[in-house]
Amino acid sequence: MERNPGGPEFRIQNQFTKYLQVAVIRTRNRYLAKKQWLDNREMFYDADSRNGFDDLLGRKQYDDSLITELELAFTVAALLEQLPENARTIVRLRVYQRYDFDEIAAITGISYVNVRNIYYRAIRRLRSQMDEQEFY
Amino acid sequence: MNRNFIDFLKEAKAGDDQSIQAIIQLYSPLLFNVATVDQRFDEDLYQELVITLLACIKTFDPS
Repeated sequence: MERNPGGPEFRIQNQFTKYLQVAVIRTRNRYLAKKQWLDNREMFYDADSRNGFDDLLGRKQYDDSLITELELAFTVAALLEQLPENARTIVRLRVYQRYDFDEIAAITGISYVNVRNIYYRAIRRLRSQMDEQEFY
Repeated sequence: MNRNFIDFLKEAKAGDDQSIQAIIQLYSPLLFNVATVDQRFDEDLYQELVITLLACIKTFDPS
């Protein structure tokens, strides 16, 4: 198919191009706004990530008489087991073995961007599950 | 022998893969430009734009 050479017979194509331009700019703005929002969240989470799960999950001080460290460790391990295989691997590499995202990307063969996405999605999921279990 | 855009659009609307591919190819430079943010090509954004293009094919009314 030829690129649009102009002229009245290409009126429909011009209309479609304009229609598409409006839609893609809207998609781009929405995408960038969402990305900005996620980046801000990730910076917030990442500030703590090298201190292990307690800080990472934003766990507040809890009453020792209600729940012991051991119980918590088992719960985190159990929740971790429920994650999909690739997310579990990435979280372990990142939190327990302290690899950087680019190192994890090289190890797993998943792209850098995807590693980050999978990791932060997993952390959010763990957080919300911990919330449900009222560990905070 | 070149078929015109309206034919492609009609067939793409009906779900013809080859016509859809032809339209994506036609507009890929536009999508590529829009998906380039701060002089870096963002592949995820490009994919979103292709999805937008597919939606536009469905919703555009050429009458």
